[in-house]
Amino acid sequence: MVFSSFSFLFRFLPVFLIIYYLTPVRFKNLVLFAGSIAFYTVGEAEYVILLAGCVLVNYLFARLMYRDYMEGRGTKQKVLLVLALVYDFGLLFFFKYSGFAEELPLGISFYTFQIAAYIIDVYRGKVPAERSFVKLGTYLTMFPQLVAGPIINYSEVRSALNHRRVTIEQFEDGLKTLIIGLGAKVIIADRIGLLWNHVRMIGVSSISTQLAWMGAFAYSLELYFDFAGYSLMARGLGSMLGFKIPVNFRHPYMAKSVSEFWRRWHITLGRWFREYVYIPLGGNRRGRARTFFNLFVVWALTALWHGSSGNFLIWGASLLCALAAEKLFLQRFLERSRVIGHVYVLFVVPLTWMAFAITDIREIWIYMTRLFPFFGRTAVAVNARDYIQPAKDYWPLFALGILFSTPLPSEIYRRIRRRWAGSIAVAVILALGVYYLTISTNNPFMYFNF
Amino acid sequence: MKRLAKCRVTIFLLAGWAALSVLGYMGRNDIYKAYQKDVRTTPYFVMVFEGIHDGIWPWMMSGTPWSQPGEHVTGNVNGGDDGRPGPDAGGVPETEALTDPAGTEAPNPAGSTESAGGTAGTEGTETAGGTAGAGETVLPREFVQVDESWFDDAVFIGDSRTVGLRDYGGLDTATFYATVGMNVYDLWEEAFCEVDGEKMTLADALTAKQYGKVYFQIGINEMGTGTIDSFMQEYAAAVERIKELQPNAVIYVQGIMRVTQKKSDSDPIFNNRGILLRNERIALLADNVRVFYIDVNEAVCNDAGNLREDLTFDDLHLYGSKYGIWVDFLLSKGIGEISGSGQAE
Repeated sequence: MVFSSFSFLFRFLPVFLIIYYLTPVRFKNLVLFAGSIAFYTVGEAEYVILLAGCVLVNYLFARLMYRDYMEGRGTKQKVLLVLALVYDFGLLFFFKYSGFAEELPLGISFYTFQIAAYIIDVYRGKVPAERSFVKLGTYLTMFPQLVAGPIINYSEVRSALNHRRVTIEQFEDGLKTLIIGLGAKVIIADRIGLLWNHVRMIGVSSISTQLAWMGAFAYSLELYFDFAGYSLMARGLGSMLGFKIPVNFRHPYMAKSVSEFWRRWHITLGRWFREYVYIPLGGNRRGRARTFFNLFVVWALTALWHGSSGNFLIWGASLLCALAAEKLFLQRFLERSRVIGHVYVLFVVPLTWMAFAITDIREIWIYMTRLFPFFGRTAVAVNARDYIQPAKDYWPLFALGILFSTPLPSEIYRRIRRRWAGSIAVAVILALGVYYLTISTNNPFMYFNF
Repeated sequence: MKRLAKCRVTIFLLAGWAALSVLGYMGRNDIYKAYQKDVRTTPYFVMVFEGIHDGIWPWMMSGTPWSQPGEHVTGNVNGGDDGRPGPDAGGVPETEALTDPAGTEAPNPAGSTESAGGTAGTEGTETAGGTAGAGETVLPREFVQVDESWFDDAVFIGDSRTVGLRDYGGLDTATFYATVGMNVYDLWEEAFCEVDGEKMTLADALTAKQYGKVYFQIGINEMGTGTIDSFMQEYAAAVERIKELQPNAVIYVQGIMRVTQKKSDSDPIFNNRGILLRNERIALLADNVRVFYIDVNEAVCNDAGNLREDLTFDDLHLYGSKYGIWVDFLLSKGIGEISGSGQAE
């Protein structure tokens, strides 16, 4: 059940919210836990046991680890931590990389990271082990963030798990965030994604250089508005339930370097790697060589987290090269001017996304030769005018995508959100969002559209 | 009151949801009849949005004040006041009213249904057989290999697949009247044919110039609409109309290109079973004198009869680099010199 569907927005969600609000405070966690399990079961019933097992195993390990606060950290704690992490990452590894499993259980990449953060934080003494099974379950399975993040730290929601209330203003704010996220996904991402689909349909070897660049930019915008929209919806749902879910995207395409881009993109994942991999390895405090090694480890793991196929390794390697170059010499150069950094990011990042989007390594190479036709001659049956019609069809979406990649709209919205103009703007997004949702679900071919 | 002002969007959402759901519910057997949904997963208001997408507005519903003028033509102020919605909205109930008496006249639901149906059927077959047999003594013509100059006086009519052939087939001398999403129901309605930089309907475009060959491939976009019979009725009518507009052209009715097995197995509508059923019926339109059936699936499908996976990314369209296969296939399906008619004369 994806957020941008009628069955979620107008069936599951309202029914759940009514029950949730009517429930007395002390049962709210239980209702949310049960609702999240129901949400997951509708999506993938066969793996719900895996999710429940994850909660139970980590609950027990954490409790054993910290039966009392005075015990401190000893060998026992270390062994328990290692066992818990072996269990968590072992399952992720089995399903994602071993090749034995046919499909990836829904959300496992996200909830494994979230529970690993919890168990490490308990080990470190940063948070006490949660005594209530229901509360831990509620934290891990909470449906707004279960399937695709953001990856929330237990410490961020701990007090809300114990006590929270939803005022009418919070509900309204959450609803608005949900609507804006829906708009990002169905008004921009899904529609500009059709251009990328069109490029793939023609085939990478038969596109003109102009169309190749349009495709790369279209995909970059699609990915951003899809994922950022989803994260916004999660945030909105969170505040409707009384939780504050962290920000996941902060206008990444406005960055002036690739390293800054990655501090603004999928923030909660970057934060996880920094907190639990990069810093424990020594971060940048152990000399230049060690810093590069640490960066290498982080990006190798980041690439693997996204997928096990070869293209993700190329993608990670390309990012690592950019980051290393920036650390060595590029950063100083980029800082000299206000323009050059933006141009550099908007040139390099879409290129790296191509290795993310295209799974066949040979096709990635062909795509590069279409973007840079002087690299090699791989073109077959190119129609040199193939970009004219897409340019006519998609320029409004490009304009919209570029505009909403800048902080300008959110800055304007921040000023008018309490006024009528702000409410009307959100209402328009809602109406348009539902309209596009209708015609795309009604027509199973929206993605292909003959 | 002050609290209410703090949740304007919530109120807007709930009010809009309620109002449009009522409209959808009221129109569920009326203007939104074509959009029936599973209410357990889809709210009623979705039908209203679908209607808007297709140009059907809620006020076109029968029984609304705006539809009154259709029934009592001069009786309503709205009708005289506002010209546009009057006839527009009136159109729906009016045609409904018209089809009813017409319906009772023609099929005669009383006792004589069987005999009426019977005569109609035999009449139909007799005339069809008669014209074919008596009118023309031409022998069926055969397919021969031709070169690309064959397409100099050819026109291709179709949907996105034909668009692909236009863009990637390299048939620069041929004419193409094709657009993405084209289907047999919109074929004569939409102005999708570009002639000298001007958009016009297919009828106008085919009137403006005469061609030697007409290639027609359509039928996948409408697989989710209507039945095979209703589709074939429109399809056959389209072929007849093309014949009239292009009296000297041979007409190729092309079988609908199939989809890959992956698509076919997973899609309840757009699958090869459905395509096969349609193609069988399309093939029956061929008389091998003026109308020929050709099926590109012979060239692009594997042994199991599914579109080859290596030819497509989206399981539906050929890669740009693969349209040559279709062109080569078409080149093998030229029509031999009219030796048959020569002998007959």
